[in-house]
Amino acid sequence: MQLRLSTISCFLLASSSLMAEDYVSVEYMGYDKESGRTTISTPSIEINKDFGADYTANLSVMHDSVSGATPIYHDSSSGASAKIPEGTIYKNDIEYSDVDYEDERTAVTLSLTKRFESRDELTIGGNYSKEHDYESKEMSVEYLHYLDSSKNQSISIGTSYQKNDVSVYCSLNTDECDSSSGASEKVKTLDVFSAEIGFTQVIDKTSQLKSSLFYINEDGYLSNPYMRVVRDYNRNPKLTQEEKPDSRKAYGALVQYSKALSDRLTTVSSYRFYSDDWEINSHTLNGELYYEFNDKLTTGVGLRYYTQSEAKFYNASADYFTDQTYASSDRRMSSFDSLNYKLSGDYKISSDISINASLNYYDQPDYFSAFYYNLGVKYKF
Amino acid sequence: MRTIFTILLFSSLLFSYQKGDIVSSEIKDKLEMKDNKIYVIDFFASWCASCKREMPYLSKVNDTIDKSKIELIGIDVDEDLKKGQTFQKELREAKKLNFRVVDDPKGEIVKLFEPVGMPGLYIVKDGKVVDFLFGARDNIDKLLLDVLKEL
Amino acid sequence: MRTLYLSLVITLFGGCSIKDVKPWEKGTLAKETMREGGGDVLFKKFANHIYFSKEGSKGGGGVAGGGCGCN
Repeated sequence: MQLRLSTISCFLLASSSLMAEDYVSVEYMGYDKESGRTTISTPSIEINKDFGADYTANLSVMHDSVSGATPIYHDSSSGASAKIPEGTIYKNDIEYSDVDYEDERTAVTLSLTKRFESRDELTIGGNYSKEHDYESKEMSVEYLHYLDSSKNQSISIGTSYQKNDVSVYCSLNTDECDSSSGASEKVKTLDVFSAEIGFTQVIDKTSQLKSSLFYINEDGYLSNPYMRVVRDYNRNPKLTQEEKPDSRKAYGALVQYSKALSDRLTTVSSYRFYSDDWEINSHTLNGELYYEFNDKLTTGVGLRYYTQSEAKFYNASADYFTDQTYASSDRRMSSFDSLNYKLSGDYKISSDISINASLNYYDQPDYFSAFYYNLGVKYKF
Repeated sequence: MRTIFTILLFSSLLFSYQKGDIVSSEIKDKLEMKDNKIYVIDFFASWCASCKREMPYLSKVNDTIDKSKIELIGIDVDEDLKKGQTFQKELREAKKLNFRVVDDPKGEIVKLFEPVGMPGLYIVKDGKVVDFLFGARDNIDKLLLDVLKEL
Repeated sequence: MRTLYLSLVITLFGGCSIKDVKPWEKGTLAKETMREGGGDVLFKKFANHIYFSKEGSKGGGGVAGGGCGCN
């Protein structure tokens, strides 16, 4: 469903914040939509293991169980089901409301880092995730090069390629299938290529600046098979599958500044700019503040602000498109702002074991809000 | 003028200990070093993961050497003295550290050596720096024993 | 070569307040709280899923993870 958790979100271009440390981290993460029924529970595990001084392997496995309801346009006369046949309907029967669904997803990420004599790092990663109607495979390569002997400056380049298979059920999208073949689904593909170049500069003993430029190219089936739009064919409203362009090119830039204000107080702030050829431009500001009460307890607060412009083919208020080729009523294509608030805590039980927890509130005013949280244990061995 | 500029520019390189350099009497006093002994000096910190990993291997070396001829000295460069000492205590309790450690929270000792990486390991014989090993290394115990055998 | 490189770096950044932080001075930079998300990789991934599932843009979380050289 449109709350598809998978895939395209996480380019694995593994963050090379890999410390040369062996640990296992087990977390339970949960999500509850406010005033709704959507819940997600995600048990997950991450293992980081060094093999000698020059190799590090990192494995993470996440399992999502999603159950709930998500709003889409559907034909109320045929029942509150996502399985709506396309065709002519009456305007009064078109409804934008919750439709039940359930889904599960497992995602596995493995990365291997090799450090050279110069301490430059090469990281090769693989990512696989699967849910009932979606399968994603990804490979990535990243190289980190230190520019000076004190390792205060580094440059990194990375690239990833992702191949996705989307199952479109013929019962949902009759246009996609050849009715005579009797097939129940059609598999569509989506290829995603991304590249990123980053530069890190240590400014002084207590601050550092990271910056990066990224490019993402998507080719293939970018529509959501569950999303509907209402098309106005000569005042004959029809509920049809949404149609997004089959390619998307995006670029962006990110800057992140970390600063320790005192022995106990640390801030991390970042700004990201994003722009694509669907005419979505977005700005993301994130600020985090951490306070160490003592050697054992660290707490944090975070605030994230996000704003984007709408895609050129988006329409929601009237939801009546004319004969234009591309049409979507996917909220993610609209213009909106969102805020995310975060509270977190980390407690060291011993030098090897720590527990952590966080509570987050995500809000798109007047439309959507949700709580999500995590509880975790980390064991260094 | 140009010479002064060059000296200023590369002062850090000029003043850091290279092979063959004589260790100052100030450091010898601070570390209580004797002239007729070989010293292995290990610069480490609690936040340095590779340093932590090397510690048991260095302790293993310390078990095998003739202590009347060779001595290992750890220099903890943690600016937070308390953090450093807690770290040392944990290592000792876990039997991963069995040699003498000198705390250097102000960096007075490390500034004279200027290791280019952490952990920084120096071998001093007859008051002279004869070898060093920087950064995380595989089989550090073997490497170090090989170096010591040559002396 | 090293001399040439060093003089280039010093010329480039000489005017800024960028300091040459020595390997033994990186205790603060090595802190997990100097990284976005406080170093919690799993939860950062989860949060990114949620943002992705509700927002129309993505990217930038990748290669800028250049080390502080504090290992």
